[in-house]
Order: sequence, then C-alpha cells, then structure tokens
Amino acid sequence: MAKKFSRRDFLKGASLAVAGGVLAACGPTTAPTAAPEATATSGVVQPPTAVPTLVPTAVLVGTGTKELNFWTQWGAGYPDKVWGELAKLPEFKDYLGDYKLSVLNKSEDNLVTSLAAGVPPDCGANYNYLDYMARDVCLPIDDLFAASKHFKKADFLEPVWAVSTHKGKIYGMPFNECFVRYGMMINTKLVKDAGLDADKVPETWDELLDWHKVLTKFDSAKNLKIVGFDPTDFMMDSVWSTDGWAPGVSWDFTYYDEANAKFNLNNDQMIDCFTNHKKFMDVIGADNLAGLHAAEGQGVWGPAFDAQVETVVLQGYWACGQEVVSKPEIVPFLKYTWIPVPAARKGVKAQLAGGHTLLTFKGTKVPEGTYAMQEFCNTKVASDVIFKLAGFLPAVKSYLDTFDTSTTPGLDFFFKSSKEATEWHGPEQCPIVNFVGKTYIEVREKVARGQMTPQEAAKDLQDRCTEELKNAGFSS
Amino acid sequence: MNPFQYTEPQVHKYVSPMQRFLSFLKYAILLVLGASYLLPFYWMVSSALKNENQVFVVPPVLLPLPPRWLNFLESWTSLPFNTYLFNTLIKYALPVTIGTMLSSAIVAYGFGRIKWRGRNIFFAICLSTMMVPFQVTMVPLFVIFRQMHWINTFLPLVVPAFFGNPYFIFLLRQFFRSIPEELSDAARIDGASELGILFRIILPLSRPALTVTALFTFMGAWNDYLGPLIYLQKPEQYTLAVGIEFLRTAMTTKTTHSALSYPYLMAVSAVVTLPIVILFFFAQRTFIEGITLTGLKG
Amino acid sequence: MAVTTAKRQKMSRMERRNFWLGLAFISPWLIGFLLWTVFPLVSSIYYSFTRYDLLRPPVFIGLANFVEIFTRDKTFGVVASNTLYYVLIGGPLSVVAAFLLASLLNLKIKGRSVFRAIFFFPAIVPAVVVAMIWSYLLNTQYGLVNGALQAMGMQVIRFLSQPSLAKPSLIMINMWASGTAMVIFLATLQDVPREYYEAATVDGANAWHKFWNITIPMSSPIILYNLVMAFIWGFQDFTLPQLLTGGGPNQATLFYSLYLYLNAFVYLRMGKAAALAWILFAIIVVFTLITFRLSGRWVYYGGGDD
Repeated sequence: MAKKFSRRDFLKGASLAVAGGVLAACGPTTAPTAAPEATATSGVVQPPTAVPTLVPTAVLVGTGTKELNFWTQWGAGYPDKVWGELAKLPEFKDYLGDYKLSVLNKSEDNLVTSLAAGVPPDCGANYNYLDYMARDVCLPIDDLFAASKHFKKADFLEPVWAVSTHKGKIYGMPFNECFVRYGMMINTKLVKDAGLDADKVPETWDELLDWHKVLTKFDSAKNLKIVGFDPTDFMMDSVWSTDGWAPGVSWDFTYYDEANAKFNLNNDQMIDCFTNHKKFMDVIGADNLAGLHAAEGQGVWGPAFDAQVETVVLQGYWACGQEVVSKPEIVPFLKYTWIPVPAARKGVKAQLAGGHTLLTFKGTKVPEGTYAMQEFCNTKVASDVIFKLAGFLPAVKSYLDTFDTSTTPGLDFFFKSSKEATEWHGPEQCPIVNFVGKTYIEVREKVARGQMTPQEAAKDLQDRCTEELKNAGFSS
Repeated sequence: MNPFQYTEPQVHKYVSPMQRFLSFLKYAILLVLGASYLLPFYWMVSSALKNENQVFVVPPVLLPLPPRWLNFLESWTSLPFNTYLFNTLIKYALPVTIGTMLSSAIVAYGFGRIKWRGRNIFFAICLSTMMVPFQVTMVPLFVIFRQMHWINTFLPLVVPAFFGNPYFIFLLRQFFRSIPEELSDAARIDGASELGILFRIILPLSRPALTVTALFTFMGAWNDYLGPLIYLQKPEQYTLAVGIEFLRTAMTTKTTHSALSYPYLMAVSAVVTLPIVILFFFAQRTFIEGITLTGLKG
Repeated sequence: MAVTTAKRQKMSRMERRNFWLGLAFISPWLIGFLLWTVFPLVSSIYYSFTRYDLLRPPVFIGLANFVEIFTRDKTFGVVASNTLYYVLIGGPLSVVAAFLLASLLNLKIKGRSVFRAIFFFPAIVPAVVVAMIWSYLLNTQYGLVNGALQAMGMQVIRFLSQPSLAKPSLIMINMWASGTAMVIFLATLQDVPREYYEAATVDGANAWHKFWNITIPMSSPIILYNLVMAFIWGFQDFTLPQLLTGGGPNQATLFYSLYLYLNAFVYLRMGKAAALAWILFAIIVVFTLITFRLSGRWVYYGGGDD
C-alpha cells in the first residue's frame, strides 16, 4: 500500500505545532511597542493599540463581611477604576465599611432576565428606572432619606428627582451621573479638513444638513468612509427615562402624558423629526451606516466617534471627561455647542437636566448598604474621584456651584448652558420606555429606507406604544 | 526475461482524453470546494495571530508576520476562561454525558429487550417528543426552575439529562434490538436479572452506539449557547460558549475597543474549537457512523 | 395455562411481570417526560391565555394573546415571512448542496475520507465560533472579502448590514455547515446497489441519466428525511442569527426563535411568548405533514425498508 499521510502522522504534526506554539507563547517575545498611529487613510484612524484590560467578573471592593451586589451599565473602567479608587477613600470605610461591594457591568436585558428569574442584584444604576419602579420590584427609601443627616431634597437639582420618584415615593437619590444632557459635539479637525468654517456652527437641522452633505465622504467605489452627522448614535440613539430624548428636546414636545397614561407620538413634531432623519440618512445610505458601526467591532454609543468616522454627534456633558480618558488625542479638536433645532425655532437654546439614581431591588438583604452607597457617592471627595475617572458629575447643587471647569475642555459649555438655556426640559417618565425606545429605533429605520412615510411612522409608533401599554397592564 | 514463460498480456486500460479531463475536473472541483470550506478556519487561525496594525487594514492580511502568539495567552487570561472551561467540562458536559448514557441505556433496554404490553405506544410517544420545538417548553421550564430556585445553578442543564434523551434512546434501542435474543434468553435461564443482563451482556456489546451517544452528548453540551445563556446569570458560571460572546461584547464598548479585539476573539474561538478537532480526528469513523446510524435507521 | 385465543385476555403472570419490569426500565424517561415535557406543555397552554411578566402574578386574558398576534402584531407578519423564507429557501438549498457534495464524494476519489472530514467538520463547530468567524470574515470594512474588494477599488458587499443580503448570507453560512446531511447522503449513496448502475451502462445510459434515474430515486427517502430535518432546524435556529445580526438589519433576520426570545426575556411578555411557541409547534406539525403528503409523488421506497 502506498504510504499515505495517515491520521496518526497528522496528529503528530499537529501536536508538535501546538506544542511549539505554546512554547513560543510562553517564551520571551519582543514587547509590542506602541504601534505608530497610522496616517489617516480615508479618515479612519486606527483604534487605540493598547491591550485592553477587561473586567471579567465583578470587581470586589471593600473589606466588610456583608455582600452587596451592584450592577450597572457604565461600561469598562467604571467598576474597576472608579470603585477601585473610591474604595481607597477614608469615607468609604465610614459609609460602607461593613460591606463587600461587588460591582459588575450587566446589560439592561440581563437585568430584566435576572429579575424575571428571581435572582436580581441588590441594587442597579444606569437602567431605565421607571420600568422597574412601575413593576413594583424596588424598595422605596423615603424613611432612610428622611432620617439623613447629610442631605435634604433641596440640596439636589430639582428635575433629577423625577427619575427616582414614582407615585409619590422616592426609590433612590440622585446618583453618580447627573446634570445636563444635551450638546452638539464636533470634531473640528474633520470639519476644517472638509473646508468648512468650524466657527460657524449650525444652529438648525437644515444648517447641519448642509454641513453633513459636505462632511460625509465616500471613496471612489462608493464605500462610506466618514459620516458627517450620525443620526443614530449617542443621544440620538433611543429614549431613556433619565435623559428624555433628542426629538423631544429639539422639537419641544413631550411624548407621554403620565397623568392620563396616553402617548403623544403622532404629531407634527414627530413627523418632522422622521422627515429630518430621512434627509440625513439619504446622504449616508441606509445600508452603509450599520456597516460603519460594525467596523472595528463598534456599535452605537461606541468608539466610532473616537475612530473619527463620525464628525458631529449629540452628546451630554459626560463626553468631555470621557474623551480625555478614551481618546485624548482628539480632545483639542472638540467643540461643544447647543443642539440643533427645527428652522422655525432657530435661536432657541434648549437643554435638559436629568440624571441617574440607584434602585434597590426587593429581596435584598442590605438595604442600608445600598442607601449608604448613595450618600457616599454624593459626598465631595467621592464626587471628585468619580469625575476624575469617569467624567460624571453629581446633582448636588453646592458641588456644581463651586466646580472648576477649566481643567476639562468643553465642560464650560455645559455649565454655561445650565445658566443660559432659554428652554428647559425634564426627563419624561414612562413605564414601558424600554419598549418605546426599541420600537422608535425600528420604525425610524423603516423611514430611513423609505419603507414608511414619516406620517405612517408616527402613527405606527403611537399605535404600537399604546397597544403595548395596555398589554403590559398599565392602561385599560 | 524468459521468452518461454507465459505472461499475461498487458492490457492498458484506455483512458480517453474526455475521461482524463473529467477526472481532472473532479479533483479540481474538490480542491476548490475543500479550500473554500477550510478558508474560514484558516481565517480564524491567521487572524488569531495578527498584530494590532494588521487587523483593520485594507487589503486584508492573509499571513500575519511575525505571528503574535501572545494573543492566545492574553485573550485566554483576559477573562476567566479557565473557569469557563471548568464549568463547561466538569459541571456541564461530563455530568450530562454520564447521565444521558446511563439513563438512555436503561430506558432503551426497556424499549428494546423486554417484551411488554404497551411498549410500542410508549415508544411512539417517546419519539414524538422529538418533534416538540424547545421554545414551547422553554418559558414554563424557566418558570419551574425559578420556583425551584435552580436559576444560577447548573441543575436545569444537567438534571434533565438523567431522564433519558429520546434521540439516544432511539439509537440505543435500535442497536440493542440487533443483538441476538438468544443471549438474553440464555442469561435469563441462568437466573440473571434484567439489570444484570443489561450491564454484563448488552452494554459491552454496544460499544459503538454508546460511543456515539457519549460523543454527541458531550459535543452538544460543549457547544450549547442558549441553555447557559438563560439559566446562568453570574459571570463566574459562564461556559465557554457564553464566555466567547461575553468577550465580544466586553471588547466592543467605548473604553475597551482595541485593534486586538478580533485577534482575541479568534484566538479563544480557536482554542475552544480545538478539543472538537482532536475528538473528531480520533473518533472520525465513530462520528460518521453515528450520524449514519441515527439518520438511516430513522 | 389455557391455550391462547385471538381475543385479548388478561395478562399472564409472565406478561404482568414483564409489564412492570418494562415500565420500571423506562421509568426514568417516563418521569422525565411528565416533569419536563407534559407539565411544561400544559403550563405553556395556560400561560398563552394570560398576561404574565414574571414579576407580577399571571392575569387571565383569554384569547387576547392570539388575537393580538394574528391581527395587531405587525412584527409577527415580518417574523413569519422571514422564517418562511429561511426555511423554504434555506432548507432545500442546504439539502441540495449536501446531496451534490455527497455525490461528488461518491465518485472514485483518492483521499475520500480526508475530503469527507473537511466537508463535515463545520457542522460540529460551536455555533458561537461559527458566528465569530463569519462576522469577521464578512465584515463590511475589514473582512476578507470586502478588504480585498476595497483594495481593488470596488464596492463592498454589505453581507450582514444590507437587508436584502442578510438572509442569503445566513443561508450560505448554513450551507457551509450542512455536513451532517452530507454524511448521511454519502452513506445512502454507497448503499445503492452497483448492479443498477451496471445495468444502466449496458443499456447505454450516460452519467446524467444514471444520476437522475437511479441515484436520486434510490436516495429519495433519505432526501425526504434530511429535508424534514432541515425544515425543523430552520424553524428553531437561534444562536447563529442572534449572534451574527441580532435580528437586523431592519428586521431582515428577525426569525421566529429570536422574536420568541425577545418577547419572553426582554419585553417580559411571557404569555405572548407561550402563545407564539404553540403557534410555532402547530406550524411545524402542519409543515411536516404537508411534506410527507407531497412526498408520495417523488419518494420511491424501493425494496428494503423496515
């Protein structure tokens, strides 16, 4: 029989290769020097090249004995860097000395499933709070707060209380990340590269559209390379109970009437908003944006802006501090200003104050611990750490009044806006905001692809949300 | 050469140019198809070895030089994959395999080696459960396990395996039936119990079918994504499949994205696939036979 | 003991002993069947008539879930058509691909087992890994295909981000992973008696005649089996679409299993999810029955069926 390359031979060879590989991996390798920043080819800058440090399991801080499980969606860096640093403060021992705090990033879907499974964490932050308060899975903190020696209600920015108040009860204090939520973030380098005047910032959607047409670039084969304004990223992404939503602020309407449990989504403003969205998407090409977001493993709320494939986005004050951490190279180019408004409202300076809270879930064994977390994070020293490492600000008025914005570029706009806004909005509360957000995104995409007219879309959104509200048992 | 020795006239089989061309075509197609089937695996392994500046480039790098072997180590330690491996292997795959083999063999014996009234009806019911899509029972099972406080444990995944799996009950039954009845009869006359017959006569003769059962059950658990996704909420309990997806989402946030995300993902994917490769090469014949057994006698 | 008659009689002692023995042996399955199948099935029917979000007790609402699904749920229409597309096109395609591959391998080939291994292997790779590999391979900007296209100055193919391409891409990936069916076919093909082919050659048939008139009819029962399996699988596939596209773009890959998961674990509409599951069950049964009924016309059960 002719000599065949038998299975045994293959295995021998394969195991040698694997063994060799393992040896090579263990052996000394030339340390990867920071790769030189690739010259911007077609506007795409290489993402950061440092090896990412991930947070695998919960970050455990504190030396106490009582276990406290805290879930959040604030992303990598928050559990380990922020809480790692917070745990070093002497005040941490004062407030949370008894506890072993476990901080873990978990998506909203995961939180929902865990509640459904009967195994929720002790507390959670950065979720759509009303969805949970309305379903009666949270513990109120009225008693604990009334007995507080450090804080009164008036110490905090008024609008933020709406986020954590439900049917007259308070379920949490303003926590970690509050303040104003809407600004237009511009990468002025890309603007100048396109030949536009970075000082004449657009004030209306039409003016932004003009910029958008110039800034959105394709290569010779019609592949999308850079987007001018991304109408689906960051604050344009969805609807939240903490931040309201961009259409509501820019077009000035409230989408949900809480007193009557009725939606207000089928109106002229919504139609205009969808029409506007389509104009921007027509320039980009509806199929191209998903591909752009998927490049480099980025999604929405993602690093596409850092990769400089998005020129203009709507972001909140936290972007200033975050960009320093995530992409310091572009911070000198960043400019912040008022968000655009419809042409008829030109000149309106719209702003919204909102924020986050910490919800304590029923079944927890450590409600005093979760309350102590909230008081702790609102102290001055803790707030300093949180701002330095995450760029977040608390809602404590005395802290904000004495805050020095000069250290962080861009923050002065947001502080200025809190004094100079001509129109104030508050974070709307709706018990099915998760559903509203997902449906809004779905319907908006259909408009972008021309499968629905803006009028149909507004009506569809209204009908489906009304239906879901009834099906979820919040209206009759 | 002896001119007087009779030799067979040598007949050269005539191969027409057409046949030669068809033969060439046959191999050409096979090679092209084979290469395209293997290409994704090559992409996986080569991408696992890329450096930071070889990932997001145009044109794509096919042969990363020098290969960044460190990716394997770094990606495996970026998340507790050793824990995930332990979970997958010790807490999930092995118990499920043992449980399935044991219970399915016992049940298959009942269906295949004992004649009793009503046997065929029950067997038909057993087979028909294979038609029920898992989604129908998924929600109520979740509720049941929740009431039993089994969420966040491996119990929902492992315990049902000890109650038999219709696919393998069927497979083993068919196999058991092919063993001559005389063996059982002789043993019974000798006074052996049915269980004794099962373990001492039938099972030893059923090694191929048992191997198939073990292999496929193990692989099913190793590859399972949805089950662990639903029932395991704590990160320290994740299995390899869930861990890979967790790595992907963990590496695509604003503050953790990096050019090494894809190499890391490809590296762990390669490592997770490796045991399957090894199993496959050792047991290829059994794999194929197993599929054939379940497929053809079906 | 009396002579047995044709009438059903009470069981003899032996029969009774065997009855209990048999029942005892199958008891693991029987208990499991009651616990993990019957009870959930019955509960699932109950839930489908309620509004239940798992956080508050279920509320009986009669047929409202079904009414909603069939008359007011616009997404259901999209989901149904997506799933039917995936099943009706993807199913037969993967079966045809498997059959052709098996036929190719059935020819006289050196190294058949190597090729068979290559074509089979993708079928046993974890779905998660398949998703990771292909999402990078087909990446719009930097994937293998699109990177090469851009380097050549051409337009990229937006495999997974263009709605009209998303389902075909998924179907293509499934065809790549259809090794199981191929192996079954190969075994079947090798079972076809050689005499049939030899007789056909004597009659002057060429390769195509042989393929069409012998190979296919002789394999038709197994083609049917693989087709039914492909349909059932197509209706239930979750991991691959969930990880590759998450139901997008623009709901192009929102399949039944994803929609069910979404309703159950994200929207917390457990009642509606249960209703959806039963509808799916009914569809699968009807589908299988239709397939079997129609099969009478083209499936040839030659000698040797059990």
